[in-house]
Amino acid sequence: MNLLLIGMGVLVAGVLGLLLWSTGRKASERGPVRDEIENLCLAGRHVVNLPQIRRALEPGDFEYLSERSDAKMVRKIRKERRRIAMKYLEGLREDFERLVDAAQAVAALSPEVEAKEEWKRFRLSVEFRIKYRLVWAKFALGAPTFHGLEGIALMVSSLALDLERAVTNAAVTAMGPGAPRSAQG
Amino acid sequence: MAETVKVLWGLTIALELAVLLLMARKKQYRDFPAIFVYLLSNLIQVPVVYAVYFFKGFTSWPALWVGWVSQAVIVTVRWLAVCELCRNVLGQFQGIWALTWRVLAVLGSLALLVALALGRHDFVRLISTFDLGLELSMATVLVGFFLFARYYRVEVQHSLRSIGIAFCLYSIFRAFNDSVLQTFLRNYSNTWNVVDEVTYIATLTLLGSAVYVLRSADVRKVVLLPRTAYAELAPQVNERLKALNERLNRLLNSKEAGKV
Repeated sequence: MNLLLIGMGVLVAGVLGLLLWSTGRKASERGPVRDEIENLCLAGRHVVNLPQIRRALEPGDFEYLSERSDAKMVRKIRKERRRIAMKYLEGLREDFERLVDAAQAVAALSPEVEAKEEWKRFRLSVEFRIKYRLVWAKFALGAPTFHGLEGIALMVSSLALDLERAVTNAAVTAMGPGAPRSAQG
Repeated sequence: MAETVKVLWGLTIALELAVLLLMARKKQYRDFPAIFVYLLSNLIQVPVVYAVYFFKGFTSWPALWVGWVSQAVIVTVRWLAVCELCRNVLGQFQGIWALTWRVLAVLGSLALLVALALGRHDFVRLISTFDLGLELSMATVLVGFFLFARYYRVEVQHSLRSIGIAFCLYSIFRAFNDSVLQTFLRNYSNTWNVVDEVTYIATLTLLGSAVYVLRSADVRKVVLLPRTAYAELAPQVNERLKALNERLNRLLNSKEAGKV
């Protein structure tokens, strides 16, 4: 075996793997970009549950219960609270993914895009996914705070509002000066 | 020349003829002229090369040169077919297409340079090094194209996707086949021929079935958004994403993360 064969083997395997991934079933399962814009619903689905989550993760409640329950029950409650936090975090990620998808759909349907902005969004989305995994791991190990969750939830929600406003503005501009502007947030 | 290669050549000609006739009947040469010309040039190459092999011998220098020069023409036309496929799918999306073709051009050039650097540069192997570079570059461009389509959720018709996969797989196998040929040279040349023919027949089969189901009516016209939408949205989204990542950073670094 020489360097050429090994190098080419690695390159070919890499290209083949990427080809499989990019044309795989998951890629075709996602709806096309046109449908994304037609069915645009950006409102955060999970941010509305924030008050309930706040109540479920209230430290005072947990302290009260841990003083009055046995160790087994405390463990069970802690596990349940962690499960709620993790589920909520997962929901926020779904909201985030939908928003990024919508931003990509707008980019795809624009007559002009900025390479710098596209690269920035790609880089930031990758960064988000990595950090999300780390936060997820941290929460899984038992250290989530409600404040942390609340901050992320509100940011995802305001991103949704900004996107919706921009898309509505774009739609109004496209319809012309006589178009109703009541949809603007 | 081995009997196997002769049989494979016959099969190749039959398949090429069938796909060309199918494309002609469905008038697909209008939408995909480069793919049509590619198949046509392949069809013309076979008798020309066969004549040289017959009169000059399979292992002669003229046979080697005619084989490779005609191959250079075919690879160039296949390159055009690949570009045509990418433009056919992404071309409607003006904004991302302007970005995509530049990125794909850079990717393709990089892959070509890597292959040229890895390949051998002596007199005998120089042509196959160039062929290897072009094949790897083509495969990389096609994979890049599929990645872009996936990232921007651009719908690629099943038949067009099959054509893309067929070209990509052919390039990948050919590039690897070239690498093996560079290493073992004459000892491998017969096997190289058989492997190349078999992969080409597989490609033609996939291409033929894709052409058979391809309908131009399936392609819907894309209505683009006004320019202002992107200009207003993209910087905002990026700013929010940046803030979101900073928030995650703080959450990761905070020591007072309370217990649930």
